[in-house]
Amino acid sequence: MITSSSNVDFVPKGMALASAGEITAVIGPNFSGRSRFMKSMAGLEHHHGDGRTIRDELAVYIRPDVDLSISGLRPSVRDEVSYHLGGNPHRESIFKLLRSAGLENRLDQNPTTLSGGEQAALVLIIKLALNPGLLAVDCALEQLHPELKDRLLTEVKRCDLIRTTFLLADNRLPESRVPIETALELPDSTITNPENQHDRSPPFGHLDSSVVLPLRTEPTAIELDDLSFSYARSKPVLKNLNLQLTPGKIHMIRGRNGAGKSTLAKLLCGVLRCKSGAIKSNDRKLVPYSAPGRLVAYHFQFPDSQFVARTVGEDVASGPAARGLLGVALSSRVDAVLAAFGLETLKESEIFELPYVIRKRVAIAAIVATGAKWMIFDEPTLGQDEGSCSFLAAVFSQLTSLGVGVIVISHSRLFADSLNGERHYLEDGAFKEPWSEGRL
Amino acid sequence: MLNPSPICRGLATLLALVGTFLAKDALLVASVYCAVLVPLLVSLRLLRTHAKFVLAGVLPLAIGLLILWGVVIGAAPGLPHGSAPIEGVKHAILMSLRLAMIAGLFQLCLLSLPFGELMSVLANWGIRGDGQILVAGSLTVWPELQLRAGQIVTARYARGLVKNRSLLTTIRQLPFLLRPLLTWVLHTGILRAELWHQQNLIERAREATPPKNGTIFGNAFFLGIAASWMTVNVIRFLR
Repeated sequence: MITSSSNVDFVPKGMALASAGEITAVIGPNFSGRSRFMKSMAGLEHHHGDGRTIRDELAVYIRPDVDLSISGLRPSVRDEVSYHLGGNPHRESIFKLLRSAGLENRLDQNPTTLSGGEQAALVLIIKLALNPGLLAVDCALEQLHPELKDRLLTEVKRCDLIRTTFLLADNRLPESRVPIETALELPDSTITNPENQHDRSPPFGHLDSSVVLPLRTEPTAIELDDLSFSYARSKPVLKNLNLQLTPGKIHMIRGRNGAGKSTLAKLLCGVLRCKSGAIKSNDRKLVPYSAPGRLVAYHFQFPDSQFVARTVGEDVASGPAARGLLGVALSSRVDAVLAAFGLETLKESEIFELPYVIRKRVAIAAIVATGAKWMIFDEPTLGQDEGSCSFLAAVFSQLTSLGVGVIVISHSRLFADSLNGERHYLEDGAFKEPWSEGRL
Repeated sequence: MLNPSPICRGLATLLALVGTFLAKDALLVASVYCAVLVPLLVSLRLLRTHAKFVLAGVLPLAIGLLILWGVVIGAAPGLPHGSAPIEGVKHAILMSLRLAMIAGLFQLCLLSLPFGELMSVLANWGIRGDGQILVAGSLTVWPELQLRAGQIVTARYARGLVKNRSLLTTIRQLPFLLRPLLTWVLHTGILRAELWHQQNLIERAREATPPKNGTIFGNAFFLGIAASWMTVNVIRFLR
């Protein structure tokens, strides 16, 4: 049993965490100090910077932006696993976990080419291969399909060779069946640092009509006509998709990790080129690849992949500026969007100095500011608490009321339930009807 | 079979580098480059990496050197300006060949090993701790740059910041690429170095791939070639 008094002075002394092999859920809204608490327990803040604070054993912190927890030393999943294993004798257990996560066929792939959820599963497993005394997972597993998350964590706990104590922060715990031993609720803002301006939650503003640009032309329907896609030298990711996407509605897309959701989004916005089938509008063939992002703007799952400028204001302005908005019109639009998302005080802030939760908010605001006819939001609620999720649901609803087509990709069933729209379930590269909880 | 021990690997590289620095005959450098270095790079599956480096790094430099020594200065070093453009061109070719050769030697020495084994070799040479992190960092800079450059371009496309995909429009994206690229690479460089240090990843990689002792034949082969190359060039240099 580990108690917080042994190493973290700002958490009430004697606060008990779970024992080895058990999971402690760290519960609290954004900016309650969850991340700081977890980093501290992993020895990354205040105390010893070497990460050896728990029973003098290694403690590891997994960030919400999991791609930065991959070593980057050599380009294959197999090497990544092997470099984390080192001389660890539990090789077989680790490879068993890889099989549970469905990563056994990805061993020769570069980890950066895996989908977001697959990267999250990989990072969890490779950090377990380090055989740490404590593993603090900060919202990283929100990217996993709930079924996979439950299965993976149950497997981890079953594996008696692993004697790690888990700290798990996850806003989607209420919708999963992860076996939790202890819940540690952090009272609001007890652990924030008053000297750090980025340690407080900027309140959301009001959503007035100036936040969403009215469409300059008629809304455009999108039709997928027998759309298929495969990456070079690999099996098809999407197979003969047929779907009618009506503007002015929210379209929820769910599916297992690696099912092709993000690939579909990249085809729609024109980042990838359609190889077979077509994207149409009113029986007219559209070629998003030749004018990417113009009809459909895409918010990436990892917000850091999306930023193109140094400061918050510059990044939010870049979308509307590219669409011809200039001068006062541009600055008033940027100010309105920033105010609505509670970001006005951060306009001149460097994006990469902001916490993950805020970076995600900036990335969404930047897409809303574009005023595109269609907007795709890939896992918009990652790391976001209940209040933020409600705000996002309101934003999406307002977008649709002005004729914008909104596509939301998310593993969160609760968030999906809060949205009023059409639901599509992607499985093995094809849409399955109907969306059913039994399937999920 | 041709695997040299860490000490022989280092020594052979050092001798070959000295030989290349002293080489004065472009034809000889070109011959050794084609007859010895390229087949070795092919056998170790490094030719593609080397070719990319030569095309992206050495070739532009070579063109610059040709213009500088052949046209602007118009002479080899030590001769009056404009007196011997052909000598200037020969000098530029020699410099470029040396650069390609040095790059190939480094790639042969460092990139022919799995990462963990490379770290063992470095440890054997006395490079440990921060020195190893520095080498690991330098090896990851290029893939990281490629990844991030791809992400920034993709993000610009996905957000509708690029009007179309014409060549001119693509070239125009370059200025927009540089600043976020630099910020990101510095940001991730620091984070990754912290990650390796905190989780002891370099040490673990070494444990995962224990060093090989090398064979007598491998040691003799590489040392022999490198020593011969250096000897020939020392003699020609001193003549």
